[in-house]
Amino acid sequence: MQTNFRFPNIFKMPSDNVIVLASAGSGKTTDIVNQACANGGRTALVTYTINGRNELLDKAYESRGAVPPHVAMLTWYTFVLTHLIRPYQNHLYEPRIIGINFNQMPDHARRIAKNRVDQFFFSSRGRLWRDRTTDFACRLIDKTGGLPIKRLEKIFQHLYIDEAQDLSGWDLELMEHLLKSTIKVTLVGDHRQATFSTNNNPKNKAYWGEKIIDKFEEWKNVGLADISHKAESQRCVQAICDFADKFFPKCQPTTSRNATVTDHDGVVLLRERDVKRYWDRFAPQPLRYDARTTVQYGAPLNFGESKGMTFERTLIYPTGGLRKYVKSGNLPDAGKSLAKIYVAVTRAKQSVAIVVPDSFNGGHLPIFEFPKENS
Amino acid sequence: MPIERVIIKNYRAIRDANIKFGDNVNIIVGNNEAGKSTLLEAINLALRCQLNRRPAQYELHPYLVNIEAVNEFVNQRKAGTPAPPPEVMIELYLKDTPEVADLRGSINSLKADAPGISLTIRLDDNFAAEFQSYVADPNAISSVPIEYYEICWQSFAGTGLTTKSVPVKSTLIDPSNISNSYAANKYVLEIVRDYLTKSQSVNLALAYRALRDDFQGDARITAINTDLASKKGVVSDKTLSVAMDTTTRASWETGVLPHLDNIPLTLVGKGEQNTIKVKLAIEAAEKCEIFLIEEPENHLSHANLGKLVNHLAKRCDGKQLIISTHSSFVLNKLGIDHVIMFNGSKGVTLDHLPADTKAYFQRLPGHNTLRMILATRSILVEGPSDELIVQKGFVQKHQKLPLEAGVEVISVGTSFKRFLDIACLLELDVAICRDNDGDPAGKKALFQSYQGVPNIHIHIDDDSAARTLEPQLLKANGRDKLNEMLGTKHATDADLNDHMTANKTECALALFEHADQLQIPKYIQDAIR
Repeated sequence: MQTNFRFPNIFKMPSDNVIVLASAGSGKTTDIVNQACANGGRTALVTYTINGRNELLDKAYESRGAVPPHVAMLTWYTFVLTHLIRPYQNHLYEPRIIGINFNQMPDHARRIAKNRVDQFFFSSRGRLWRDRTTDFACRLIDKTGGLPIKRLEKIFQHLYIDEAQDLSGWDLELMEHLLKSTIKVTLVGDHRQATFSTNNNPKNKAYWGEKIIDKFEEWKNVGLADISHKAESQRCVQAICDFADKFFPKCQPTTSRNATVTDHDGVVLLRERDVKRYWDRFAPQPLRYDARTTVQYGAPLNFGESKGMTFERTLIYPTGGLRKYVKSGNLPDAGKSLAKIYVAVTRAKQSVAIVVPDSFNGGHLPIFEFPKENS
Repeated sequence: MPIERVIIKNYRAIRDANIKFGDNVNIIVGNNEAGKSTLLEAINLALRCQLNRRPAQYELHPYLVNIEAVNEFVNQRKAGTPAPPPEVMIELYLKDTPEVADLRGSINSLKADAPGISLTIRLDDNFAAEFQSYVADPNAISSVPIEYYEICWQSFAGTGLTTKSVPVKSTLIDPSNISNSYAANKYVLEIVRDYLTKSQSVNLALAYRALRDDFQGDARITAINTDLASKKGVVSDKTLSVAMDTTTRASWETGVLPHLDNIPLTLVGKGEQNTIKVKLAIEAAEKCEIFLIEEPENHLSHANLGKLVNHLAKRCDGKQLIISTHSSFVLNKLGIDHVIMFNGSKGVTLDHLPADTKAYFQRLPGHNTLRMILATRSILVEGPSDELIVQKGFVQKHQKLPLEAGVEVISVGTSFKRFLDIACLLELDVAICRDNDGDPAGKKALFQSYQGVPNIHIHIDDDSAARTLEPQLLKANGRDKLNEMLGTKHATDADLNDHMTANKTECALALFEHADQLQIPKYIQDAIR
């Protein structure tokens, strides 16, 4: 039995909720793990993917030696299922919900009437469609007068959501319930890296991808959360930051915290014929848009996959848009995959080389030439 | 986090029970077959998922499922109206405190928003096919197919539980005979483990491991191993040596035993073991909040019982105690206020009684109440003389004393209604046998409200001329017979009557002790049955 008096957290002000817009490489994962571990009350650290969760765990072991018992690290769907759905699911659905069906919903399932709970939300007995999971949680909250939120308030005092730019569909409605609760919520993310959608629910379509920033602004405007910026990069040298910033001119410019100088730093274009030599010399990590691009040297990663990772140097096989852009310097030329491009560009600490055809000339970036004495 | 309510369905003797508990002391009383032990066992099962101190899944047997439920299932199958196989369900509703916030939800049979634990034993969906073939021939079914059953242990939040994830610490003290040395060791180790903090447990394990390493480094052991090594090629092509058992099985639990004055605790009496266990659990660093104690009078001498109960009463402040007992001593010591009268389905407390009746029993904590509750049947009379005549009549009719038949004869003065209030609540079989005081209709009217209650029988004679027991006896036996039995020589009925009335108890005792048959007045005979 607790004897020491705890200041009741009903005194939370809405501005206690924070949305931290963190540039790539800002060390946000380390930050939230440290904050969570240092917190007094029980804390949930939530991220979208199992890899993300493992990364948080690794960080905690790395900096703290162990995960403190007051911190729970969960994936988003585990969090929603164990804390917001199962405890009161029987107000909507009796059989125990075993898990989530992560497969794409077939079209016919999308046309089922909302009031048919069994078919609308479930692919089979006890298996929720991924795309309807947060929808179900919201409906449960409405149906029970907010019982799941009240329960959660008694368990957690702090909630951190990593990769908050990936919230979409009904996630946003659910997040509003959480922002209005007595739990102190911290959302950490970077809309420039919104490469991944947690679900395909048409709800809140206006805020898909990088447009999530509009939702963040709305929350700020109604007093649900403050927005703070962490426009610095522990990872990339300034030249890389500057180049990456160009894809999102409205955002605060990023300041580099990487002062390391090597014999080859910054962003360059690399002619195809020089790739082999460049690879031998610098051993960069190849990045490509998707598996359709063949890469001759090294083990390539797709842009999306590389999110959260850090490399010394990268070698980027550009999309058509990016190729056009490096020539013209015109942002509209870069196409729609800005988030993925931003992710790819911000992986390297020291150098980014973008592969261009041998015939390439012009553009506003330097073309890499091997120094004479090395040839 | 005390237990506020327990709901049990189909667990052993309990078909369907719903019992409320108080935050502190709860004394469960009830008939022998009412299922008091089963109730404690069920609570312990839900708290620990253990039966007989072993993981419950290893201890499943068909008789865990209530026999009535099983018979119903079997009969429905035979009648061609198949119903699902019966499930065992135990739910513990806990008080809403911060420690159990994680257990909160509405996944319970009341759909109530509360922290709690539920344990169900039910058909495993994975065995649907096996079950189908099991029931294929309805005439061959005689029980439930327990081998296809699973245990589902979860919180009211729908999350699966493990022993470590249950934030409620409890201790069960039961008098059951420990049948094998494995269970005996486990029981004794529990005593220590309940007390130790996490870091103390870790230190114990580490020290034990260090000791094993030291053993290996001892010069004498090295010498032995060198000698053994020299036999290589003789006994085996490989090197033979001795070492302490370092397999996982050989954790400290197998090598460490608590001692009392240097005597291994397993060799100390069970009563003392239990006393120590209770006291250690009370003092444990990691608080044990719930104590389940089954009939402490069974394995403790009266003096030790007194000490333990005193200790409990003093030290269990802020902890929940659920104790079952037949002992009026325990009841009186811990207070009748805390009594839960359990009849197999309901737990009735004094709070259920009308306010004036409750006040009556609080002022007069009663052995008599307990006697009535514990009896198969009770005959309530006004005073000792009535009691003796009832006893005599009973012996004449059944050739044994009422108590030997589980029947209590209790003198209650004029407080019939107080006892009847309890009897009604608990559905106890009670007969009232009282004087008509010259006003049969008026006296019967007093019990008007119990008319038609099947377990309550009112016996008042209609002859207003025979007002009390004495004229009734005179009427049934005649003056001569009574003079003979009492050794008196009263010339008139009035004289004899006056004598008997003036010496009620002495006369009744003389009649009781006399070898001759006594004619028992009709209304008393009716009460005796």
